[in-house]
Amino acid sequence: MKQRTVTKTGGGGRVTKSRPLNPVGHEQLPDPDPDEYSALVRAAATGDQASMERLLMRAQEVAWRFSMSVCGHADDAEDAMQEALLKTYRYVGRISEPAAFRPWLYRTVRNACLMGRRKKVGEPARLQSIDDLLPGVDGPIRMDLPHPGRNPEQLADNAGLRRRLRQALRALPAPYRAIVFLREMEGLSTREVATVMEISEDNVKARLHRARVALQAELERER
Amino acid sequence: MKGATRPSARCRALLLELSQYLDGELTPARRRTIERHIGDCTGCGTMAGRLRKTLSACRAASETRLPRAVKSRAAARIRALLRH
Repeated sequence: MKQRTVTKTGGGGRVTKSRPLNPVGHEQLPDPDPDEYSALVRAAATGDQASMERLLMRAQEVAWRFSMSVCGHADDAEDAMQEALLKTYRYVGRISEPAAFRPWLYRTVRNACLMGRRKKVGEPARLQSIDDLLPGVDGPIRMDLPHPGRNPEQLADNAGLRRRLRQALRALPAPYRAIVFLREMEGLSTREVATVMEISEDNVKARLHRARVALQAELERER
Repeated sequence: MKGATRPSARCRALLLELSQYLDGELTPARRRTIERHIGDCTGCGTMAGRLRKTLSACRAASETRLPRAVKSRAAARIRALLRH
């Protein structure tokens, strides 16, 4: 495997001996921390091709995961991911906050999904209002009594868990699905989610709660 | 709905703060209020417990691997970009 290094840049990047690039198809790389992304973005912005390649290779995992959650279909997700990588390549020099590259990338993926959205086969027929499932300020709240056989804790194993979560997530409207993904699975803060989704933090909190309750209801419904 | 319960207005108001409670985003005083209510109210306590487990399930299942074919095409595209 080739060894590549990130070189020190005038923009404040640090000298780092990078890990070997994994060949295509080998184990998934852990997500870089913000500092590593920051260094890669700064280096790539100066024209460092090795850093640009590394940045794009790491970004594709993140972009794929999010585009799948927003688009819901592999073909659309791949198109959105490719578009986001292309934008990263073209506009890396214009990213004003290198340390906030991940939220920038999510926002770019989301915009790519929105622009590329078209009538999809298999989109859940019941894109019902999430209000049908959730507590409202004034309306009735549906709250089932506990049912011993329908407990998220009793999902059989990891593979089964992931399958059922994917199904439950697919049943959510896309904006709510994206918020759950960003917050629960990618670990973004409320503020970062607000930046990606271009809504207020209060809105993020409200939608997140509604999405979580809907997700729980879906998980317990699937039997 | 079988077994459905109509919570009180107080329960309804507190349920809207459940997510913030689980995320640790409430003031200490507000957190204590909700904890007391969850301890006293079977329905809300159960709801909080189930929601907590749902969040744990999400976090445990967070990994979605990039399919090999997609990764291969993306890598080819990246290499093509860098050649220009």
